[in-house]
Amino acid sequence: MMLSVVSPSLVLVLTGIFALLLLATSTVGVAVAAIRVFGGPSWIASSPILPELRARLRSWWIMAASFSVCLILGRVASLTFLALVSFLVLREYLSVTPFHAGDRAGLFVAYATIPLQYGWIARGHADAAAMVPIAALAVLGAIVAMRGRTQNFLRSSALIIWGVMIAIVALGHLALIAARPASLGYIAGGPGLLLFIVFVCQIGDVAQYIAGKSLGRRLAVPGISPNKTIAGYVGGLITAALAAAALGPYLTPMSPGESLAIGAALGILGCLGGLTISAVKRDLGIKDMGRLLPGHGGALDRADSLVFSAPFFYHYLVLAH
Amino acid sequence: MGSRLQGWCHRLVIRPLICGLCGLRVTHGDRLPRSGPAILVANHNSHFDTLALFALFSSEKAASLGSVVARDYFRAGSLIGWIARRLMGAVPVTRSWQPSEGDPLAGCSRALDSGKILVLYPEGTRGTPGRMSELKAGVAYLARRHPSVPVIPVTLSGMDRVLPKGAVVPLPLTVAAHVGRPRRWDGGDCREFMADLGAALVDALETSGESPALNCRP
Repeated sequence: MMLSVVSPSLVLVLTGIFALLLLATSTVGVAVAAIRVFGGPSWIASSPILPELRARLRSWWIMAASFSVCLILGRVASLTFLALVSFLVLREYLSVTPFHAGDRAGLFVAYATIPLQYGWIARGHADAAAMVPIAALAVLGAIVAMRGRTQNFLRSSALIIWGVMIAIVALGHLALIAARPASLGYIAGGPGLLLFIVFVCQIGDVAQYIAGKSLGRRLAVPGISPNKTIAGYVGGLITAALAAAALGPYLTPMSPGESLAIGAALGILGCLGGLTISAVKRDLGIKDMGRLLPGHGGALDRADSLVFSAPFFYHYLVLAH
Repeated sequence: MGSRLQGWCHRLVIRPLICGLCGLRVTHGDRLPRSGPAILVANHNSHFDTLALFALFSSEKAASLGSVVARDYFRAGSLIGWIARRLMGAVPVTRSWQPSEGDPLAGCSRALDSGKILVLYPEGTRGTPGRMSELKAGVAYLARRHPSVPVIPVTLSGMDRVLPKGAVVPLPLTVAAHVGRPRRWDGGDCREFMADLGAALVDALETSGESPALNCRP
């Protein structure tokens, strides 16, 4: 009964994603087997690229499977999934960020904004969710101030508020997108919109990784990302735009041309999100946010391209559709 | 009966708290003993340390895990004493021991003889986070008495942020456990044995820094 409301285009796109994963997994599997049997060039045997690819793909299967199941199960499951993502992102951010022992109460408040944000979204109060960042600013600021020491006040409160802004407010826009009412004429409803932005941003990341590894030479921002090349960014951007143009008409109310333009914008914002999170990591002196997803790093390492693009896409939908 | 309770506590409380709510990052987990007897030696900053060390093992092995606790803090009849004895396999030892009281390590020896994996904090109490206090020599005496039992240093970091001294509610944060190379009693002297263990714990404390915040303090 619940399954009957899943739109056919949603099922079609999900099937396509798993076909893509199957293709990638078998390609890597054949490559590994061929190298084992025939031997390969010495650089590939000694390089970590194949084990890394296999680890990445294994993580992709788990992410795609859990995301698809939640999308199909419906609204509550999708929102629970996204709330869990927010929790994991906040937890790994706070785990690698230095805090004063007196900031402990502030950290509990940061976690408490998760049920606040997602509770309001689940009950359909999209505009109430807009007060979460202000509430967080006020409560966290006051709590850090009540510590009674002005030394490092801005540092402590800003560190916590950055975490809340990224993990709960910015990524929470994915839940706002998923909760868009189907009555607005969206063909595949909120789940279609959510699948659209997640797929466009993630396929952009994958293309960026492949283009950067295979034909990238010149580093785009050497001070921040030692692995990101200009070719990678261009490849990611083009792929995101083309994927959006192909899927937009099925999953969203946007026309093909409009989808192409929005896809390009999502691609650019995805790059900027990744760059910003990289700057945060470099400042903390770490390479990855965590080790939750073997091959990828932490949850935020995978979701960094959604940090800016999700709020943009949500507000675009509100204004234009 | 007690061991069944310990298994369920491990499955329903310890693993979900440490691996679900907090997240446990293990390096060199292959160095952990597959079965007892063994002695795990760790730095001590939080009541959660013992939970984290227990979470390194599967629930099937929960019944063979034990922790060496201070008799004066984990008093028989108190709630925390009951939890330690019934749910955590605690072996109480007397911190301020008098010669008239007999062998202070008899309980630990019995536990090792019955194949237990014993958790022991040679600092003797919860110390200052990020810094090792002076180590007590009890581990060395125990190792000398049981020369075939491996002693494994495990360095924990981040636990003092999850549940510092005096706190009641744990804060969900990822914690790290670095498992050091197992060692055995080599016939040398107790002071050298402890110095070597202490160095292993401190080295890992300083180099576990993939994430500096896990052990550095502002």
